[in-house]
Amino acid sequence: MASTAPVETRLPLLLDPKTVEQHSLRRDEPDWLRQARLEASRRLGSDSWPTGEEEEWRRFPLKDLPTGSLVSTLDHLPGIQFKLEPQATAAGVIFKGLLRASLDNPELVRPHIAPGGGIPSHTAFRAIADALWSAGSTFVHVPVGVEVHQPLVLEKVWPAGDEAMLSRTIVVAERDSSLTLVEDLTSEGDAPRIAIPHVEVHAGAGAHVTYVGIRRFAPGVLDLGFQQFRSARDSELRSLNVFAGAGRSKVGIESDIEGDGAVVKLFGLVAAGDSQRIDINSYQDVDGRSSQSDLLYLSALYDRAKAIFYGKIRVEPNSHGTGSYQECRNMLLSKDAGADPIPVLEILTNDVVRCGHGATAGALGDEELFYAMSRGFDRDQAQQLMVHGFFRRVINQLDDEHVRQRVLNALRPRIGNIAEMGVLA
Amino acid sequence: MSSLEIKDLVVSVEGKTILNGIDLVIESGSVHAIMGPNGSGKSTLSLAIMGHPKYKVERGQVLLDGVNLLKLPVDARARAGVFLAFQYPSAIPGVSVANFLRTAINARRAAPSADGTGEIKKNDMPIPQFRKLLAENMKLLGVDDSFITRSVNDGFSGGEKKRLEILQMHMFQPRFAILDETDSGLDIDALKVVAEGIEAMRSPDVGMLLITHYERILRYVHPDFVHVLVDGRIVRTGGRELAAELEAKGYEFVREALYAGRA
Repeated sequence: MASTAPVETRLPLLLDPKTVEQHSLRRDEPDWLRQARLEASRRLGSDSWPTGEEEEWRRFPLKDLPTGSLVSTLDHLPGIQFKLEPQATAAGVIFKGLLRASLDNPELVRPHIAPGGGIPSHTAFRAIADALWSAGSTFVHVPVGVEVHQPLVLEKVWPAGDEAMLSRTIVVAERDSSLTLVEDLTSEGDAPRIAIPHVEVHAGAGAHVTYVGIRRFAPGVLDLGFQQFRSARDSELRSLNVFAGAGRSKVGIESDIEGDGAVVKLFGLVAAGDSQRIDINSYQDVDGRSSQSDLLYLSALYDRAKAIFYGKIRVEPNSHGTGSYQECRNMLLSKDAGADPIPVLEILTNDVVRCGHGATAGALGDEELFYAMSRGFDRDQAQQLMVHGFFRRVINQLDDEHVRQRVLNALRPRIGNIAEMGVLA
Repeated sequence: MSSLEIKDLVVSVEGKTILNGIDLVIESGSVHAIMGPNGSGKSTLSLAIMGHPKYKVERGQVLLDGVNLLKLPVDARARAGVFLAFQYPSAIPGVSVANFLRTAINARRAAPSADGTGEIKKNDMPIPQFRKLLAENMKLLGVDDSFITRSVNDGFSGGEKKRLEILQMHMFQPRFAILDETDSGLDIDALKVVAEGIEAMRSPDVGMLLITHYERILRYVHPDFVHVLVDGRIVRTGGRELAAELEAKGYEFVREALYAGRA
């Protein structure tokens, strides 16, 4: 408790209504947007700030919080490009900065600007991002029945500094539409700073949505991001989070199925080293008959890195015939690396087709290493090969070759490239 | 002309001595078979030569053209030209056979640069050359395209694992190959294919050490020398006829003769 005390006094001060209002006024935002920011700021109270007693926060002490300003003066990330295929533009797809969209398409943005619900573990950080989001915020809207063929790719690079990186990404895929969005997040400089990428994805009835989030944050970054995926009936939603950076992460991932026959697949790859701590809370809620929600997170942990996974599956009453699973596999590449997977199931109906969890944490086997080395790989190469093979299970889920390469590129500094030498492209 | 010379090799596992002084010289172009009962130290010999960390060399040397392999890390022994076909090959999930072979070949071809900076200079095998080599050897081992897209040994049957070992031997072109019970767990058809794969490896430039429990495979692969390993020692050496004698009389016969002679 003592360690969070300075923050408890500091953050409400920074989030006083004046600060939030001025941030909005300086950016010439419409009144409704300003009100939404103020509304969000009111959600940050002393009761929403983690005490460290919560199950989700027991393993991630909120100490050494970066002291830089939460208010960013940066309105646009340098070099960011919203590239859209001509057919998609013609079909009315919107892909632009969130402020731009709020000015151009208020009728589309406004219904989604004040998200409801959300798991309590990240209420405080979601409130901060929603109140003070700035550069790097994005809005995507795909009209009914429109299929975007090329993946939308955003390279978001935050310049050096100690200001917080607070952003919102709102993706709305209307009925029977489809898209893939890739967000590749990088920060420059080594100063301690907070990042809260807040992502909301709405998959309409029958929509097909893929979201890929790659994090390559610098060592000083404390990432408190939150993602919420909402799935309507018969939609198919896939997400992949790649933790390839050097900072700490405490990320909340929520998936809400709100309809029958929806399919959700949540994937994650963690490649962490030094004394990194990657802590993920997932919440898979299934409310719909015959819907499916599956999660698969794979971590390769080097040096003194630690991966913590606290995940919950909840199947609502009357959700007959659902399938859900949570799988968490950890490869420990150093004797000092560690993993702590904690699964929780809440099944409120007797009629489930399948529901379960699997978690493992183990070192590379001596026999496997010896086998690979007997083929001429040195120890480091043998290890690279096995990590690459371990990650393949998730990487193979990506249909688009460019996206696959982007993910591998992001992972390369940590996991190496030996296995790519052999790819027969 | 190369030689692999095993000199007075004493090896222990977890404090227990398994090999009690092995002496054996394999010249390139020759095929040696080592036969012995269970627990005689056959696998220990192969794994110690390759450098398995569980096997402790107490004494002796293994010289490849005068260079003591036992001083080298496992991968350097492989690069020096020694290949071990495992009795129990490991699975590498997520790494396809084709990818594994190509990566291994390129890793083996990479050499430290001549300028002494310690940098590794790549010398990748061109893809068309690799494809051709792979296709030839797949044909030899009777495997199809689906085989090379599967993960290494992951869910492989016993026969498939042994085929992959022999496929690797052909792809890597070692100077000396040690085949540890490659015949075990094979039905007669698979045994034939694998034996042909071994026989096809025979050349004036390659020496082979075939470790086996049964005489069966020696009907297809004809060794120049047969050695009998009992209690960690080579107790008899002969030609092919020794294998037949063993098959007829059993290992007890050798053991009895050995200890009777000592008494």
